[in-house]
Amino acid sequence: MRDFLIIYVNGRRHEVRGRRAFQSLSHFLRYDLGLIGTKVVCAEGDCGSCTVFVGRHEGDKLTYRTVTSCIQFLYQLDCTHIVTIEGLKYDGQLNPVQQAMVKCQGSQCGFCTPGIVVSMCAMFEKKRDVNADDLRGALVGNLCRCTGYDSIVKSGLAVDTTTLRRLDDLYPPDAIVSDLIKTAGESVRVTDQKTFFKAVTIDEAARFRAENPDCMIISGGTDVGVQMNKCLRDPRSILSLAGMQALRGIEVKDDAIVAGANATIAEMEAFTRDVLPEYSRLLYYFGSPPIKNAATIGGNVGNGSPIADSIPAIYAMNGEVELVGTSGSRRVNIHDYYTGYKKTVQKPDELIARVIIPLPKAGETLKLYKISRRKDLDISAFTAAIWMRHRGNSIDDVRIVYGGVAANILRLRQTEDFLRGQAFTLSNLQHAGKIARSEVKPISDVRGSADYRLQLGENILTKFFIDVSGTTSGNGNGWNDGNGNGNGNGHSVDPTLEGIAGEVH
Amino acid sequence: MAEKTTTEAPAAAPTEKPPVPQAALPKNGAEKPKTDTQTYPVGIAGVKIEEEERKVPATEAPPLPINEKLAVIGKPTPRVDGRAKVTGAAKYSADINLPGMLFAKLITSTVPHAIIKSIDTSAAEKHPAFRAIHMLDRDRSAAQTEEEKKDNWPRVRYVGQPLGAVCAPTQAHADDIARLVKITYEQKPFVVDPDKAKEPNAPIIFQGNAEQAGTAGGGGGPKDVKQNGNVRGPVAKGEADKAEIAFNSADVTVELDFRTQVQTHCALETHGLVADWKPDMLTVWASTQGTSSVRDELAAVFNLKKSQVRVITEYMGGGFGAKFGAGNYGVLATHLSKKANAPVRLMLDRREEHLCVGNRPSSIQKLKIGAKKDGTLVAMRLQSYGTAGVGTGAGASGPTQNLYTCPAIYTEDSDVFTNAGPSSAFRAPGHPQGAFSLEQGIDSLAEKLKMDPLALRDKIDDSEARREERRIGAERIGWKDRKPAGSDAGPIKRGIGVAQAIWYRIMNRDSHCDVRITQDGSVEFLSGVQDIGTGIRTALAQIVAETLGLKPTDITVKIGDTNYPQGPNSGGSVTTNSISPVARNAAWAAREQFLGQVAPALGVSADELEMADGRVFPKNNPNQSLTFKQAAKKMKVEQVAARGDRSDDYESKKGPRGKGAGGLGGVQFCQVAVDTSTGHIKVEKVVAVHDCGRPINPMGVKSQVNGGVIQGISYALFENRILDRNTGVMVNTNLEQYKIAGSREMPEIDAQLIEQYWGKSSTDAAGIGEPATVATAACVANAVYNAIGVRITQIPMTPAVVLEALASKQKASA
Repeated sequence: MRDFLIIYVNGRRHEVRGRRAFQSLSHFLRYDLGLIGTKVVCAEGDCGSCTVFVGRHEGDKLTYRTVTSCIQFLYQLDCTHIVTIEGLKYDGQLNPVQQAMVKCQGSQCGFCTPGIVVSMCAMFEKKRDVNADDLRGALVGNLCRCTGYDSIVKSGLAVDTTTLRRLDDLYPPDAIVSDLIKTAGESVRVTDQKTFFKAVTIDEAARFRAENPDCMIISGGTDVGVQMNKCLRDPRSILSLAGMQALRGIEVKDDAIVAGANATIAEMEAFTRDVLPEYSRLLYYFGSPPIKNAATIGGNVGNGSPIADSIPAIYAMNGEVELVGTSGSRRVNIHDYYTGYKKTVQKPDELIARVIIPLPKAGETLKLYKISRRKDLDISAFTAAIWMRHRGNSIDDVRIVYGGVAANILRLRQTEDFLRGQAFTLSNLQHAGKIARSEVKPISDVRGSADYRLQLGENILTKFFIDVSGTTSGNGNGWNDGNGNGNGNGHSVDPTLEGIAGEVH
Repeated sequence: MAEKTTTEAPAAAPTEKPPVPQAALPKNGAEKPKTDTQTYPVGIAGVKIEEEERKVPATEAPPLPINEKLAVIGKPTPRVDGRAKVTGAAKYSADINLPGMLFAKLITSTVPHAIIKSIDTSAAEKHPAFRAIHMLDRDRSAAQTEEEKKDNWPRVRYVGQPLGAVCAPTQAHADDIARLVKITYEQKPFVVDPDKAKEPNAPIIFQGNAEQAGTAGGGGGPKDVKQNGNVRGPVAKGEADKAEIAFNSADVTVELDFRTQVQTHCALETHGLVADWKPDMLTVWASTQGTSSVRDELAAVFNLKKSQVRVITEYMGGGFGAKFGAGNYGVLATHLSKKANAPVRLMLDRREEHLCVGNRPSSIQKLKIGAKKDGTLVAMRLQSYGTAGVGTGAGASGPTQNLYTCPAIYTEDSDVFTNAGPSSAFRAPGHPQGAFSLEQGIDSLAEKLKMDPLALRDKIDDSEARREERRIGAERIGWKDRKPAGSDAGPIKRGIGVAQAIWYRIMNRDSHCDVRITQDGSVEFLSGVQDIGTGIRTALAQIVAETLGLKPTDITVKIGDTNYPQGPNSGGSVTTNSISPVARNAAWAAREQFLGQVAPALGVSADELEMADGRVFPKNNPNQSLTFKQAAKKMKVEQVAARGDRSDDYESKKGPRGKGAGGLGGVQFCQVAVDTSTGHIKVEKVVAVHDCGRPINPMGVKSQVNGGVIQGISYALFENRILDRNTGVMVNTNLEQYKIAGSREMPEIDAQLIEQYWGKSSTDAAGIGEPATVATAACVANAVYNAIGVRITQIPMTPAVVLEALASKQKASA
């Protein structure tokens, strides 16, 4: 067991001890190391000005992902290599992204610029041949108030990709990795008024949890990081699962996705692109790349927000949560997992080990909806997941799940009861919408009014019909394909759509 | 419109095309300009340029020809500080970290309206990390009454109002300690909704007349305005009776109501500074748009000589109008530094930034326009209420007063006090609000008259600049293919709209600089003027480079420091107009001294020498040349230096106030797609055609236009300060719930510039920051109308607002 953290920054090794180990990464960079290029603007991971690379070793490789350093704490980052804006030059010269940003006026006041350069470099790590849409997507988590993004996108398109070098080229991984392989197997415990414990095995994590039932569990930290920065939370003891290998990995087993709790949303999005594209599409809009790189499926489920984007699909597919404790493991159906607002059946020594999401079979459809004021980077006002099994033209079975309409994610049993056995027609779905409306009890808040949510609760079933059938005619003879790949956005359907959501106030 | 493109041949320009830039200046270019009459190009490049004479002071640099005849000015130039910005090396005020520096945290009010009964700091002072505390005697950013100036503590008038600050060795400790200060309030009734605040029995926020200081974030409305309850005003312009009579002669009238929201500035670098109090000198690193405004306020508050206060702003992360003066935070940080005997950093956090350092006031507007059948305007009336919270200056009548030719214009602007954070100047104060109403009104009028909106504007707008801008923009957006309103089939409906901007050619004569040339060939420009992100540093390098025949990168621009000659504050788009002629004049004077020094070495007299392409040579023998560096070595003294000052604008023909020659224009077009099933609006393309006199750096100007457009789109679709009317608390004090436009909301932006010459200064350049954002929200609204056939008269145009508008149209037609 170590009592200090090992963190590499721009190729240099640092040992961090005592109170300093509890800092945010951005604070450590700016004040301990004087790396002022990393800016803090919102302190909530919303603006991307503090974006840096975090390299974690996977086997003998270092894999780099961007994170927002304002909501990453050092105890999440043991045995990593951080690369900041200051570490991206090539032999003291501007790299091709930086050159293009100068040449094309990609910077105005310049406060967002370092974060934008890092995000753009991250995109080029993955992909060299990029278009304007790729750039806008890569920069969705980087706010700029001056340039209008236009010159930034033009800078990205003007990058001389032939001279780009990879981070592995700038920072040969061998020396770093061999050190990290040696040290990554060590758990870390630091006490300085507060205590944190970085667990390496599930066993020791469960033991720490049992001994410290009030401890805050952190992995990606995208939610608790915000709460701590807002001083809404000041835990005395912290259990860090970040990077724990035993909780990683995603596979398909027995016709279900089995995801380790530490699987990030970015990994889930990539993995489900082929096996459950509807889920992948939803996760695309989950957040910005740095947020998706940090946030984990286990964290999203364990946090249990009623508007969490990843959860309704698990309900609709009748998924399970695998819990591990000091006395072994058990699987709990997602419907039995939550007991109240952010309350679960988890025992004091238990941790989420895996999340299991059964895949739709032939003849089954899953559609997922995320409604927010704008498409990108917005917490949902309303979410829905609808799973349906059909026999001929009738509905054999259905599960309807809404988020954002109650303290917990809500299963609409009465609406389901009505639909089961009915013909799959527009009028039946419209009627189901009326029942759904009576079944939900939303509140008004900053993300949307109760009326708006009630209306969405009603409209979404009609939208489901149109998406799945590709028609607004009442006959409903048209399941598109069994996998929910209907026409998706409903945009090119029919002018009669115009009135669907027309009575929202 | 098309027939209006009578273009005078370039021969009409003041000079023949010169072999090198300076050689072909008017005759006296090479002589000392003793005469006070000079000839300047006047008009729009590519349309018509004429020569006009101006009487100018003898100290002025000789006239410049139009941009196409220049080597550096008018050429797209990457910013000279680009390298520092893309590598993270640029050091902003937020990045200053001095040895022994303490971190400060504001103590802010938790209630919306109260009198402070007591303040208990004992628990805070017992904290081991406590270093100092200071409580304010008043809120320096808000309006206040005469009576309360005697109070010990500020009156609390909104949640989040700064009351004091503490400091400690770390930010975390300062945050903890600030929470230990106990304040006992005597709470009073409050109101945050301007409609409610207007009512006669509403809780009164200011007992007695209240004024907001002009330094308060550059804000502050007109002084000595009558106040009735929470309503301050109206400030009336024009004659109400005359307008009413004129309306009787109208063939057509339109009357519309509009509402705009409160928008916060959201500069990425928050307000704040580092103050380092030493017995003989106060040094401050401030995130400010006016280094001298900070110096002046701190000197006054602390009874120091201005020479004892030094304010530095090397890089600045955006201000948009809100960063003038020392602010509550600046005064607090300085007090803390004095008390703790250490440098103190006080940068606001994002929540405080939303709450207490300014915003764009809301507006509730009633507009009436009357016109003849042919479109001729006969009368306009605008009545506007807006809330600037506990500040003043919510007027929105600028565009109605100044954009169009109309014989009878009457406007009334009133502020409504509410228990909310004070407004401050925000990029074209009052104008995006005013254009939102006026430009929709003009479109409505065009529809009623069955006229094309551009044809109507051709009729009623006498600005030559905007006429040309309409022509260019219409062509680039494809105006001729514009369809009738709401005519698209299908749930996704597209539309095209237009709206116009007006802003003013303002300058500040308190603008000075030094230009120095040293024997080693280094050239320095020094001025207190600050680069708030717009790129003035680069523009100044260009002007000096042009004058000395060098490249912009050859010039070291040292700005943002009150140790240098007084520079203008950057607000109202004055910076380029104010400081660029000064740079030109100083560079010219330095050039004359320099040539006087090196002429003997070349065996000619100074007035026979020319400077171009990095070389110095006799005009009649370009082959006998020295590089600039070689020439500098020939100087007999180590350094020559010249001071530049801003003369008054040259006399020129004046059009009607604010119209044409006096003002700045700008016309924006956009295409939107409205999803009528979800209410989402997507702005797909914007064509923004603007003028700023002589553009110095088109690259920088276009970047500012793009920025103005995105702020306008963000204002039109997303941004909104939301106050909980039950508690007075702002609920979206972040960048997650307070939405600003992101990369995927951005349309394709086609920014176009015209060059307009007035002959008003030695550079004839003007600003662009403000006009670029005036028209956008109106333009989006007009395009949405063209798409869906429903006029949306409130912003932000959220999905819920759009669906509601569509529903009310359906109800009306049912």
